[in-house]
Amino acid sequence: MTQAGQRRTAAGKEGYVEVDGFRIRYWESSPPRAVGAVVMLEGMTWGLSTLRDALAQKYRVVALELPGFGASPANTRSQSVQELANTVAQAAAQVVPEKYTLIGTSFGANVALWQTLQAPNKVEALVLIAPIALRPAAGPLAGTLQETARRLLAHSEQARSLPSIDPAIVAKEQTLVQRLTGGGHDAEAEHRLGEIPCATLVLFGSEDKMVAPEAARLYRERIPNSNIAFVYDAGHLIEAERPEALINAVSDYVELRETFIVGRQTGIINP
Amino acid sequence: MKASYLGAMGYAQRYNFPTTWPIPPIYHDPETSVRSYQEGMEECEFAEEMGFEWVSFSEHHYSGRIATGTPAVMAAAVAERCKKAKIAMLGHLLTLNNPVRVAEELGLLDNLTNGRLVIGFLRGTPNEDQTYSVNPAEGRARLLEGMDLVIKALTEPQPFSWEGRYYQFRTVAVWPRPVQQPLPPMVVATRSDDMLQYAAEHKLGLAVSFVPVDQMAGVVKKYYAWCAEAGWQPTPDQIVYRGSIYLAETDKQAEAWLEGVKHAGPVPGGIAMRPTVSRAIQAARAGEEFDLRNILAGGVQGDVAGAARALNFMGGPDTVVKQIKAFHDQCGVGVVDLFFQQPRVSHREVMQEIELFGRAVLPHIKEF
Repeated sequence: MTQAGQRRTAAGKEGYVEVDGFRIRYWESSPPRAVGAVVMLEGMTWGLSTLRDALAQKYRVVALELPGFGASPANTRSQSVQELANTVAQAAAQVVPEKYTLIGTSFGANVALWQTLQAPNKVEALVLIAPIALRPAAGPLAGTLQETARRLLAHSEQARSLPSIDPAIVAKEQTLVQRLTGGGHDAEAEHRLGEIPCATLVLFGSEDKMVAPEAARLYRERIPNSNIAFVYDAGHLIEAERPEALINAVSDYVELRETFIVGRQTGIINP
Repeated sequence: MKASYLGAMGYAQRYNFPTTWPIPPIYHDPETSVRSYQEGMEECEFAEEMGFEWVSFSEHHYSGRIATGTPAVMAAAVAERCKKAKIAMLGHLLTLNNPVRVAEELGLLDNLTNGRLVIGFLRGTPNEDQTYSVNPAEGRARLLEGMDLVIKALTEPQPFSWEGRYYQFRTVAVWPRPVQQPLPPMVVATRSDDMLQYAAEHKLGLAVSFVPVDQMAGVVKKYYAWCAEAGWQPTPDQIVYRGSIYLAETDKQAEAWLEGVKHAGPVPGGIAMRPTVSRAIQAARAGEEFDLRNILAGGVQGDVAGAARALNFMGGPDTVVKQIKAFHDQCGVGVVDLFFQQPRVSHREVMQEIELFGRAVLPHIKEF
């Protein structure tokens, strides 16, 4: 479990940690005077990094590549989301010793949810972006590249504007997600939502075709200190269609947590 | 087929108004105004008594012709008098309003009426954009987002945040929820393709105002096609037509009335604005450049409401039955929403028309 060195990339410093036999890649970005730490777990984000870049203006941001995602080898060893979350929690602890805000997207949000349940003392606040853990009306998660792109977006005609991604990577990630989630509803996660001790924001695109809107209210009902947010005119991949709205909501929440509901914009037009 | 009475609540002395918009408030006399609202409510009550199954309200501003700038207030007052009729909000000008406030008003109205509310969304005529200084170029997008937000606000059982393009609310938790679950009947008042598609995709009804029958038939044809594509078929109650009416005992009497109106001078029913302002609004709505230097400022002219001035139904009962039947037969209209308060028609005459309509027209159109 040693760091395997770092190199600087456009996405920040790139490094590796070894945990449970996985060599886990991460990117780290930070302003000179970071006001806190943010750990991001990225699942099926299609290489988008606008949120990460925006948060890195203020926070030390560490983005972890989930074993089996991106350029990492196929993950055939993790037997459950919980097990994967345990691995990721250890990796995060190595890179970020202090407490952090944890952000997960899509399947990454499922892992973040379980990571919070397993290491509650490390997570100051939790942000789940389009989590697929609770799917009371479960539809298919996997499909061809084209099918997946259509389901990810509210406006599938914009699929061409997505960053190009190797179909083999998509297939590898889908295989892992399907194996660990069964493509359905995580009843155990739902049962344990009440144990999440930290402030939690759950965001969905108003046109999410992968998760029914009924899921949002389950998080709000069960997690004691939680807020749910709908990002208008966005599908599952919110960051692709409404990046400004996503950044605005998440940035406010990371800074203000549950008090992000308090209006701070001035109404003065001409003082 | 059903009939709906448009509760316009027109100011009794509206025939004295200039042919402009807005109407300067100096024309307002409190005593006349109070009487006008009482008379308007009497008309609604009498329409219900004569067999109208809906009473409708429409948001219009800065004019006494349809004097319901806050239609929910008017609807609540009439709902206490009309105990059977559907209360149809046709409707809020969603681009001008806070959608969460609109959702609250609709939720409350559905409770006050014990589930008799019908909801309509519309953008309004171009002059309405100026009421609260909304950018006309953003009206359509505001309307689309506003409808989504109203529907979410009326259906979501947990508090939520809304991160929109035009609206951001960090806490929405509308109370009371509608009596009619999951939602009261909803129609979208439009002729635009994108809005027709929205209505079809969301299984919402359609309302069209004041256009000739062949034009409405074209709109409805497109709407039906998109509904079929979305896998459903609208019911008759989901196709609403709003039209202006003058009903007399005979065609000859109706024609004589019209001649009298023409000889009385300009009909004060338009919504005329300065050409510079009118063209600036139209250009903004169309997303076009507008250069003020190319247009000389001048007197008031033009009518931005267009078709709203035309009489869609006029004549004796038999003629009007045929005219309404054409909308039923050619457009599938199931509810005809009627604007009786013509510019030079008094309260007494409106009451006579309602009686005549209930006696000699309604029994026939109910058979359609």
